[in-house]
Amino acid sequence: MAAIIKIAACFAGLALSGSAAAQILSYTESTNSSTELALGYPVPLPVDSLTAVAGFRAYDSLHAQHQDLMFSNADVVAGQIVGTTRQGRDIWAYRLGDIDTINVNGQTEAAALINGTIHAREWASPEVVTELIEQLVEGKNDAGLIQYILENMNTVIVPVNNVDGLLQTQRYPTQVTPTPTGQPTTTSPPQFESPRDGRMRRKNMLDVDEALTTAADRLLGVDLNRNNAQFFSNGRNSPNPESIVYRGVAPASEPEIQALQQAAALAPVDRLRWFVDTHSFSRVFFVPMPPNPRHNTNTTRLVNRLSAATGTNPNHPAYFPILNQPGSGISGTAEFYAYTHNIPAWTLEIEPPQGFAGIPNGGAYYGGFGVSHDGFILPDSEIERARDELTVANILGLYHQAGPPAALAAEIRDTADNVVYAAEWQNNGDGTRTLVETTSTALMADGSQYSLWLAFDKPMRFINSVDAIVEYPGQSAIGTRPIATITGSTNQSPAQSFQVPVTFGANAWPLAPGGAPSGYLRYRADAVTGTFLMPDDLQIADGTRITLEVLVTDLGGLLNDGDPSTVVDFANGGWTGYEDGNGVTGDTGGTDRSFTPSANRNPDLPPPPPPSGGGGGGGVITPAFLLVLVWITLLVACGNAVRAHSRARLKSFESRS
Amino acid sequence: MTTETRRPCLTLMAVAVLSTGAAAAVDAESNAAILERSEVQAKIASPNVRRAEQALAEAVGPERRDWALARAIVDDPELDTTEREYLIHGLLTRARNLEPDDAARAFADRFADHRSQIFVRHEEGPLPIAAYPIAEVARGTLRYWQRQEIRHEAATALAAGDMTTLRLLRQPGDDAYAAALAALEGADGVAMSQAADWLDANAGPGEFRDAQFVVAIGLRDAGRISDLLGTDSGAGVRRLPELNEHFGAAIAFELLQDAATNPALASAALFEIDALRHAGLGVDAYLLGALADPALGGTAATVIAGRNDPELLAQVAAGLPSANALGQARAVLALTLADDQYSRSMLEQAIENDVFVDPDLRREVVKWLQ
Repeated sequence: MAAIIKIAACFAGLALSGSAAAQILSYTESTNSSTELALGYPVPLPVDSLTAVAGFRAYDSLHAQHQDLMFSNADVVAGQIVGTTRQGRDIWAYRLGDIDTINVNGQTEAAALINGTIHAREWASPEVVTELIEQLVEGKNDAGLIQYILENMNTVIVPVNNVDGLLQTQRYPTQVTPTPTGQPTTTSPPQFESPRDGRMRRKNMLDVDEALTTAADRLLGVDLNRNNAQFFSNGRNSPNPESIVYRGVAPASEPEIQALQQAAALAPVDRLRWFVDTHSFSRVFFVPMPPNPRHNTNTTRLVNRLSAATGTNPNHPAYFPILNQPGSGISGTAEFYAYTHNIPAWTLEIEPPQGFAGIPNGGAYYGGFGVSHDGFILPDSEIERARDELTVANILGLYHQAGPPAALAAEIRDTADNVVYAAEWQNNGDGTRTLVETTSTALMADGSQYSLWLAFDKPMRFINSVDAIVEYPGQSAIGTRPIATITGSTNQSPAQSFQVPVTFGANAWPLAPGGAPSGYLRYRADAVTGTFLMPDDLQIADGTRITLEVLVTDLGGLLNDGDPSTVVDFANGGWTGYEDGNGVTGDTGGTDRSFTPSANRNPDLPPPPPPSGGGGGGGVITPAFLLVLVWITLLVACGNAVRAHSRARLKSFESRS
Repeated sequence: MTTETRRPCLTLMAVAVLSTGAAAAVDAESNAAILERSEVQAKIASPNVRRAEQALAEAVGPERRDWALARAIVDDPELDTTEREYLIHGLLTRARNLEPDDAARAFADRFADHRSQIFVRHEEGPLPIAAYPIAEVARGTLRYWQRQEIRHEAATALAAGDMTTLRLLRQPGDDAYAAALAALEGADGVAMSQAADWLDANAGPGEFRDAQFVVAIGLRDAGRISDLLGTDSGAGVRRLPELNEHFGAAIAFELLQDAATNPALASAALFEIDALRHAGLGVDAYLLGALADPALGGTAATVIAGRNDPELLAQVAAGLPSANALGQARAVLALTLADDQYSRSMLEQAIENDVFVDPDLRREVVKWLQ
């Protein structure tokens, strides 16, 4: 294939050899002349290396790395040719995820689509998306965050969309041709103000040969980020083939954009929940705002989370979101996915910054000499940090869009290690769950201490490299512990409500397997353990159902589902089946009151009969009347002050969320 | 004036486009304006600007340095903001190639903290960006001058045997570092030897990395290079292609094998080893051996595939049935990247013979063959 392309390019060069030769200009580190421009830092050259280096990898190396990751990790990486470029090269997409496409809740997995290198000169883009592939593969057996993402999301990544263009920039890594005649807006050196082709090629290679000296075609090509349906006819683009923002002859006229759509089909499209087109530069997120307030609210929440995740390095400002004005656009890919598929979508502009008040612009951010377009030439020394910084954010995005957490199982044991209550939600396969109680012996309202094990459908906390539970980078408002409370009402007249807080210690989130009572369920830190004291001074009828109230945010800031009986999904820009504490469907979640153990006051009552069909979650729904013959009075162990404090914390937490 | 009439519009836009918590890209209280690029072009094409430009060229150039006159020209109240910023930006850029004096430095320094007033829109979204980032250009010009001066001073000092200038090279980062490194790269053999002694006496762990590389290459000191490659954290990848040129193929092969044991350089080192294949050093055997190495196997497979060498590919294919899962994956990588008829037939045969340990790999191979 490569040989054919080279021969074709050779013929193309011969055919155009009669045309005028384009002037060739060069970037240097420190030398200025009429044809040279000093950047102030070494001009990066593509490096042959599969693994990441302190610099930018050559396209062939990047491609080989993707293929190596695919063949060496075929359990979580599946590759697919999704199209061919204008010059006939393969465009690959990689689906990161386990082989089955069913998540832990029995649904078809949600999906994300991440596009890289749509603009040729933005070399940071393939590095950043490749780093995401690499980290997802490296963490595939972490029994935590990454494994959860792989088992519950389909992440489709197109690392290099504009293959021809990237190769053209790497063919001439220090060379460009001048600013088009009549377009300069600066004085000396005007030829470098808006250089085109070579290292500064942005567009694809439609009607372009690979010879930099060919003057006739150096301005041609389609801006692939203008070749999309939304705003094609009324967006900020151009019908002029020589324009830097030439939109093409029709929406999706270019094979590279068609390939991106094929990649979306791998998700598949109707499961997409997130799209990112990865560009440089500016250190911002450009976020389309279609006429869908709910979509826009959810997208804004998500992008703010990711923004915060990029803001943990004191030497660099956070990437910040810029919300596009509704109804305006450029016919870019992010608009297509935001408007057509109603999913959070944006254009990520990798650093350096551009246009922040008081912060150096472009290459000057790194001590460069401040020349036009130098922001597209990130110094070798900066890319490693940029890769890591953005992968932290992208992983958070995948985790977040996998869905809000639901408390799936609870178990309560007494101090003798007897299980007194055990219940779990079981999937019905139709988007609903049924709560199955496998054990329900009454808790004693006699001052007894109990331990609680509560498990969720996703890892809830971030574990650092030394196995410590810490906040996910930039997500400092989340905290590390949930709020759980045992609540109920007395049988006094009038009835009085009571609350008993569950106390969570420093090592509340299990990092070892084993399930209840002290291990995690599926993923490290997907369960939490705590203790509580039943009151001994409370007037309560024996067999009274008390409630375990659970309110917790996951590590990405999503509150738990208030009603796990409906499995959360995503449609039209918002969550479905995601209830708040009052059972109202929306996008915020809230207190879950599903688990309702019973409580006795009389210690001499015989234990209730074991649930039929129990053991292994046999699908028996233990009704409340199993303990209907039992009545005792509960006493309050904790004073009013404690209860009031607990209520205040809960209320405060819910209002914050 | 455009800037005056557009101020309310800018304020609205700044509020509209910048979301919660976002840094203000444009100071809404300033006189800033966002213009279309075509408007900017039209403004700077005016006869007024052309005249001022000509006057500036006559005031400051190779023959004459009247910075006071230049200042008067750009301060002309008849110029509007776009015109003024255009002229200042151009002059500051052009000044880089002139010998600086105090007046030139004062002129550039005056604009080192300038807040640009004329903005155009970002191509991808509604982020206003300075049409003329004057502060960046002013600081860049000052730094360019400074770098030239330091380089000259450092070169003079090194030639005179004064190695204290090497202190600038402890850690990378600033103009002084770049200048001193350039001076060291241009130093003669005597100065290189003195620099090596100085570095041996003064360099702590991880310090003076670039200087060490320059000296090691300059003195053809393979031992020093080997030490550096073994502990390099990645920046040394730029030095690998130089080894063959400076040390010859045999020593380069040894050095690159050292580099291949350092994960930060390993993959790049293998590509450079492949470049030595015609030197009769046993490169092919090395690469085939590396194929089984978990860390190096992917690169070895890639390099072998790039050879288009049927004999090498045959050896890869021959090892396929007996390899473990990862080894099979690497063999598959080599054969698929080679993507010729022979490789395809080998993979088809492997499928037929059911040699794959990992069913997921088998699935990907079947998919690839289709």
